[in-house]
Amino acid sequence: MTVQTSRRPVVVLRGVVRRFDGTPAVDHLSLEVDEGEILALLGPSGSGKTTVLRLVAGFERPDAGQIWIAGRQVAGGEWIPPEARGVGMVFQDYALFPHLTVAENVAFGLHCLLQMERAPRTEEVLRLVGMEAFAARYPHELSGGQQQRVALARALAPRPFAVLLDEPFSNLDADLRGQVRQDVRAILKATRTSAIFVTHDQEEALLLGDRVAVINRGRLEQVDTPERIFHAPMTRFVAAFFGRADFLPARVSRRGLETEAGLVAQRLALQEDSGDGDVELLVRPDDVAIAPASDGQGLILDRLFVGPEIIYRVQLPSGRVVHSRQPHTATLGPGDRVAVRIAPGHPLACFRDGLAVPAEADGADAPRPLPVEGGAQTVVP
Amino acid sequence: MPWALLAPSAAVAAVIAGPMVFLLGRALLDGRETLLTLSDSQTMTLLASTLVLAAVSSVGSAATGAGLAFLVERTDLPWRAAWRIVLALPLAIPPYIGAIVYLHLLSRGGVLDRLIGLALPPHGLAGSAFVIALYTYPYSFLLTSAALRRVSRSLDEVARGSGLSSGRILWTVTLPLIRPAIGAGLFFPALYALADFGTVVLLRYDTLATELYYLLTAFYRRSAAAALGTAAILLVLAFLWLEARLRGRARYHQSDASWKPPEAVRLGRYRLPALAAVAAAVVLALVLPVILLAGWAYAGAVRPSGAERLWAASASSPWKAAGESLLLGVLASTVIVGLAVPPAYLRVRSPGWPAWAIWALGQAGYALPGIVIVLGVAFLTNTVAPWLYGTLPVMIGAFMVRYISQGLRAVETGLLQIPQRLGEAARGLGERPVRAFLRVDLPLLRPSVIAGWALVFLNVLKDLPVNLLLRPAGFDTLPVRTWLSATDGIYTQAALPSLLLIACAALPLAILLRAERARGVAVA
Repeated sequence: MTVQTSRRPVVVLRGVVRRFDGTPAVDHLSLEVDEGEILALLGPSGSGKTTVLRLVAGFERPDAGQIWIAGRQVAGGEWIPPEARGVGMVFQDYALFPHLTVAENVAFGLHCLLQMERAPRTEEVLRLVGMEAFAARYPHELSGGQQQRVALARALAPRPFAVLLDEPFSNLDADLRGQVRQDVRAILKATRTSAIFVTHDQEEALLLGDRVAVINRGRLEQVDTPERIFHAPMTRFVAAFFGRADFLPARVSRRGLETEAGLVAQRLALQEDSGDGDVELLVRPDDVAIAPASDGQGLILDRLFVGPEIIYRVQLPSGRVVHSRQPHTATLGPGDRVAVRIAPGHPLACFRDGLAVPAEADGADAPRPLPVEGGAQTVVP
Repeated sequence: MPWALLAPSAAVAAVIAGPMVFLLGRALLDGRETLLTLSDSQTMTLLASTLVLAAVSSVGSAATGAGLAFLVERTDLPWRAAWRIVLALPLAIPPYIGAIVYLHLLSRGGVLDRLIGLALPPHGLAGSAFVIALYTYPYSFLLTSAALRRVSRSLDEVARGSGLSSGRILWTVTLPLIRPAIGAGLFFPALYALADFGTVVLLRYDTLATELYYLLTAFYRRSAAAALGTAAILLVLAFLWLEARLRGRARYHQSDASWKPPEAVRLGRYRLPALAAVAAAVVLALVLPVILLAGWAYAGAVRPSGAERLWAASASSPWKAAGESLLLGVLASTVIVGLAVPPAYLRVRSPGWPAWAIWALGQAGYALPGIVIVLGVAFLTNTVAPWLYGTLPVMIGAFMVRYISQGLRAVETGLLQIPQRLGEAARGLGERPVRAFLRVDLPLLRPSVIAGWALVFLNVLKDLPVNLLLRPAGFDTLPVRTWLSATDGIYTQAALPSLLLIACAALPLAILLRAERARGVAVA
């Protein structure tokens, strides 16, 4: 499952710490980005993800730890200033030079090339992003999406080792965003450019990232493929961050996991009835089945119509609320009583003290327990 | 990076702080004499008359400026666009030229006396306050206009929706919102009244500044001068403190996004009187003086009296003086604005106490009377490097103490509009910090740097104390040439240099008013 062969990391962070006024914004973070890979840095606002980007670019100095770019140490020993690192940066507000035309913006970083080589390279990159017709325009004459492409072209022009994108799509209208995302991914893949991009939008991270690194309070929670991040979250935080997630307390017994919504036949690698047998079960709306029943244990609170389907908010006897996804033809309404059943087609993720609890001796699909020192995919939360 | 900024910034700080430190040190060394001078009843009288002049002229100036601003920005006065420009033009005329004009017009044996036998000597408090208010009201006018333009129309509409009458809205919404501007409009004329000696020497009203002028020129008494200079510094510090207290933490910014031009108040039958008031201000401050000066210059050239011919023969040509004024203006403003760049960068990009200290020193230097700075600079050069005294670099240094804060403010305003991301983007594309500055920040800074340059240029042109008291031998700029003939009572000989000075000042003023309209760059 994990690819360990023929990996050539372009950007490596090891134990990087950055404090602001004593409080760590980035806390012992280790991360690698492989050649041609797109890594999404995902986290809530204030989690330190932009600081990670600025550390790699060289606009911040780490208080501890080391950073390498293309095999050369750039921080944490040798200090290489931003202009000598060979990484391209795309800022959230694009930061296009307002006094230069599109072509001049793109050619800005080409000062190492000979004069005669600059124009062809500029043209080539502009063609790549589909902006060759706008070369003579000024930034303020472009739409947001076009500015975005120019910013990308400018970052790509000097053929950097990696491109860093800071919330690159957050300034675009929702209807434009989807298209621009696909374009940017296609361009990065076509040029085989390694990229790190920061986002707080989980959908964007899953859609664009070859791998996703989830950051919370300056620490790395998990870095993995989008599928595994979604299906096998390693921490409660990651589970809660993606999609709608409810956590149900469950007691581990010989028969499985006992919850107030019934028994879930699933075994964990835990000592049953050992006193510390309480876990939290992650249930998503499609794991919760409801059926009309006048003596059912669930009470429908709300019916949220979200187009193709309906999400019901169902209250359990303890007062806890779970969500259940039903087809848009469902006719139940608030106040109806229902029988609630946990009916997943797959093992559910369980957490204790915020960490995933492994399933009993199961295959590769289950969350792996823990931090193996030096392992690239695992993490100390 | 910070070091490359800190070193030049520290040098600038040293130049600004030097004269003040020296003056205060001098006063401390002669402690006994300083105390004697300060506790002297004559000093107390001077202090009182200075404060009275400051109070009267600042109230007159601020009321005039704010009233005109309201008429131009908020009513249906005819030709508002033209008045906006014309009402600011008296900034091109230094008040001492106004004093010369009104002296020659109103005093016994003056123009009106000879024409219709009316003599109304503009001497003393009333005359001095009138002239100072007449030439400082544009500050209040520009500040209040800008503030009025920033008040969002939606606030007016909300107030109207809550059932308030127009008068109540003006009182409860608009006035509180423009209060900081009105406060600043009071502050500038007060500082000017404290600093000016040109106007008050001519109009025979004694203040701290006139006393300092006599001490420096007629009977040279260092210790007494140092003591009075110290008193002026303390007074300025008190003013600055008071201004900061009055302004408090109020920052009345309205967002630009929702800005709509407010609805104009209909003047109705007050339209003509309002028009007359606006026209009167322009005639008194601008039209009448320029016409009179032109007439006298013509008379002085065509049929000069014996005394005039004699005086003119011994003085340098006004045209040469104009050349020297322009040279000095270009040199000083270029050096000052150029040297303002590193400390402004420091303050905007890496704020901390060093940046703050330089800014505060600049503020103090700006508020200090020019003659006090001259005194400090004279002490400093005579002690440290007497051979430098009366040279251009010393003049430029003195101007720097006085006007660096205007350069700082201009560059800072420009920098604040350039996102830091742009510099980072340039470095990410492989440019070293200095080259990134030259390729990105400098081109974008240009408009505000030009505005700051024009402002310093204008002030250097109009300045009297440094031009007069620190000039190299034979370097008689326009203010000097004007002043010397006026103090000798040969007013016709003052007319041509005055006109040339006004003409030279018009150019930077035009640049400034343009920048003010386009980007809200502060002229004051």
